[in-house]
Amino acid sequence: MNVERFMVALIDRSPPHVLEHLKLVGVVLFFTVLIAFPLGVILTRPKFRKYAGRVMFFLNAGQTIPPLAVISIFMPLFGLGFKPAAVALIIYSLLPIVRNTIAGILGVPEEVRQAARGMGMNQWELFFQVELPLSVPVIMAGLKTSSVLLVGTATLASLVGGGGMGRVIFAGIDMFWPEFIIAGTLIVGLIAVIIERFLTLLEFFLSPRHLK
Amino acid sequence: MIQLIDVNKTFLNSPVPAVQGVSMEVNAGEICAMVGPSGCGKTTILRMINRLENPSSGTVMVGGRDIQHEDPDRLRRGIGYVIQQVGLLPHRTVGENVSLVPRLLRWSEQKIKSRVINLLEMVGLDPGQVYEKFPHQLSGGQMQRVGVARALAADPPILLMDEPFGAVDPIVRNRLQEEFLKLQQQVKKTVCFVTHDINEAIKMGDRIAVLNEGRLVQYNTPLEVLSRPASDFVINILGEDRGVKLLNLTRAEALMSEAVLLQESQMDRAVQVLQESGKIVGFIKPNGDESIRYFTLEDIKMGRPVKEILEQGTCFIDAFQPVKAALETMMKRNSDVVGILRNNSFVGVITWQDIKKHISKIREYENEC
Repeated sequence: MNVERFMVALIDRSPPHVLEHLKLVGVVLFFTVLIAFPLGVILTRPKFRKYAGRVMFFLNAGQTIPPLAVISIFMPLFGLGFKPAAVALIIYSLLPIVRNTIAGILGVPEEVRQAARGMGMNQWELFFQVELPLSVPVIMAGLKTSSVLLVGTATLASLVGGGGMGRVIFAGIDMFWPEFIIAGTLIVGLIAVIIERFLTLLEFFLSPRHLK
Repeated sequence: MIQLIDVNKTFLNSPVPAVQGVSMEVNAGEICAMVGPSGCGKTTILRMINRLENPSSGTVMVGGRDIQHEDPDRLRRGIGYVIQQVGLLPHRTVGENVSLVPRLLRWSEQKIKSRVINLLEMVGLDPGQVYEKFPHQLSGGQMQRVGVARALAADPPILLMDEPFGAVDPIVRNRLQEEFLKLQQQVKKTVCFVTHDINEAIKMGDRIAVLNEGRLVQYNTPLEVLSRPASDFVINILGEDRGVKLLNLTRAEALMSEAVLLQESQMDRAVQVLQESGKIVGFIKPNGDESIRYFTLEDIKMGRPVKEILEQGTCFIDAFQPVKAALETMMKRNSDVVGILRNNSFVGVITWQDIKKHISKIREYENEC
């Protein structure tokens, strides 16, 4: 182990890629939530509930394809760079959030729903005052799972020119420099832990009061 | 107040209709207890009154208006709804739960707050203690009370209750039933009360609707249903002790003979005093003894010595209890007579003879038609 090389990896090489990585994760998470949350909500509405099974099947199937393959599939379509990496990662991150949104909303006890409807709440009041607040913990769990997975998977973005911490790690693999691999991995792990902590804090503020 | 006209309901995924040709009317201020085995359609009927279900055919009228033309949400805000699992919103405090409908109706904050406190007191809860609590911090009985308070919040004329006391233990259930009956005397709501327990139906209902396989089998007062059941099904659901259940419908005070107070020194003139007062029961308070001894004209005529009367044990029930309780006490104490207390003071007795007379009156009534 070469301490000097380790410090170079950590201090000279990593910082710009950390920023790239965070940007990638941020953009991907933003669009994932933007797509997955409404999709999950729509699939729990009485009219569309019958499609929930089929959509979940496709998302589950998508999840079984290795992320590397997903990224390579999009390369011919979008070329190299940030965009194909982001699109592939968005598709790969959808599932946990959609699944947990559906599970969270359908997990609201039927008697609570019945009572709320019987009291004269309309569909919107039922959703915003009852279903959404009560499903926050489950939806947030999905977001956390998705984010932590994403921070790791996003290292593959560098293979199609998407940048990020993958650059440091794959440089280490190419050069047979374990210092680079270790430094890169440590930083990715640290990012994952920080994001997870941050989302836990967010979950606390969004959670229904009786659980605090 | 509530009128069903030839109502039918068939669910999409079921070959048999859940409700078939039900026509009935619930009068304002009355409790209509709907009873029947599970799957008899009682809950479906209830849910058609606030449009949680829509009838396949037929008309449901509330307050003289066909509800098919009303906005379901607005209709429901004007009808109280209590269900067995209560369904309190777990993320809202008791105060917020009770104020749910007033908030939907956009009452002022001040009006809401005083109404909620008032309601919590009405259902026997201490507002200071439970107002800020969350549902999971309450006992089953307390939750049920909050459920009732929530249903009454906007003072709707109609209350729909779907096995509201089904999930609590028998002791709490009994207390909640009695409290609700007392509350009903104040608020005089039109209540539809679904239950599978015939005893609860007899106790709660001004009228009982017996349902079987989606059809209304009999709809009448508890007295009529018990004394003139419409079919074998009704006889069956009423159970073996139909006659004894009839004794539940009359309060002890209705059969009571009033008593007159005698001093111990008057005992030798007891027959005369009783006959003069026109009463057949006397009671004495033995000197230096807080307890009461009672005796009937019969006792004295048969020459029972005063000493024996003073030594005998006595048993009492409250005037508001049903005649059945008097019978029960007689059997337990092996006595022909039971004292009646009103507000904890002695007012009279019921004798075995009184009960027998009452039973033969019921028999006569049964055989009348």
